[in-house]
Amino acid sequence: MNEFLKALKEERARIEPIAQGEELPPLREQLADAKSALQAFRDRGNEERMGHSEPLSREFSQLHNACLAPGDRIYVLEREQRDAQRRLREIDAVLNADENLATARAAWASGAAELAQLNARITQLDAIIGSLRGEIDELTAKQQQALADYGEAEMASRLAGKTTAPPKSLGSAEVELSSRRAALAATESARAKVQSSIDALLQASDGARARLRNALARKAELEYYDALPSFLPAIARLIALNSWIGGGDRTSFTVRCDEGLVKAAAAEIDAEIAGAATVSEAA
Amino acid sequence: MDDPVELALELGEDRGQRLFELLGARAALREFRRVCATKHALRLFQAGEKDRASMRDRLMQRYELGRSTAYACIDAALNEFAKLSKFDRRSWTRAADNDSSMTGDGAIDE
Repeated sequence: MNEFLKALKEERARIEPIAQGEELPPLREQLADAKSALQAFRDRGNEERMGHSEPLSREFSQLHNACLAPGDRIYVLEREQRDAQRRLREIDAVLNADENLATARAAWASGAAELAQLNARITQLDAIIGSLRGEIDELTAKQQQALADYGEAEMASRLAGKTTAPPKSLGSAEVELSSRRAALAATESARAKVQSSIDALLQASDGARARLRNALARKAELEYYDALPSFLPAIARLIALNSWIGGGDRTSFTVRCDEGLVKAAAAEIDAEIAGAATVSEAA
Repeated sequence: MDDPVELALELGEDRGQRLFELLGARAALREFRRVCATKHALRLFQAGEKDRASMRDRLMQRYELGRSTAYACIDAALNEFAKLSKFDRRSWTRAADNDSSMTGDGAIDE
């Protein structure tokens, strides 16, 4: 374990009791008792206090002070607790960087795979909807033609003093059309559901992407601090010399990174995130 | 009495068809083939099939159906397919479920 991780773990052990607020329960109890005593004093009423203002005021002051002392301490401890809890989260994010990164990658990949499946469904449903519309147009045209043919035949028959029954094909065409229309409505409804799921996924993906980037950042931080100890003597020497010359801070040295390098790193991270999704789709 | 078509479905497609053929129950055989064709069409949709004309031809050949009946089976399967709640996916982080239509399980034997 390197010095950085060791220091982090020591810091964690030190602030954990503060984060858990171990001192707070007895203080809260003390404050509650003091408040009760103060309230009891108030409940005794103004009449009783008439004519005894000075000793009662002293008692009130004592009771009030008994509330203030734990209250102030609780205020300070709660602030320290919030700070310690935030710091604990930061430390844990670094200490558990590998595990968090694996979880974030899995979640991202799972979402991407789900999105790919939904997109495939949309493609499928669009093709089916297209077919159904074509079939409905074709059946409608056939039905209209059959109706026109029947109309002409019926006209000729009536002129000859007869009548004809509508052809069976008219009835069956209507049945087929009803079937296609029902299937089309169901398919369009399914498509709308898939689309809304895709929209929800895309919205949620922003959060998943942020979690993955955050996990990558903590991992990068861990790697940085892992590599840092070997550079520290050289940096310390540089800082000491600069400080001696009078050209720098006594304990720090600013490192500047070429913009092109940062851009290249950003592109690499984007590729890594995209790759995490691709791996899942292939799996 | 139990529905003979339902009973035959338990035997499987081939044995069910042979049973009705042996019994000479033509109406039941037609109904059995229609039910089998609808189930088959549903599996095809679940596996990602999108070509209705191709499905129609395959069903006509496999189950000796007429064109209209094949389409009726496809429409019935499509209605069922569209009802499946699996379309309604909303959680990004939820692990992939065991949806056979997504994973390729229950592949079509063609």
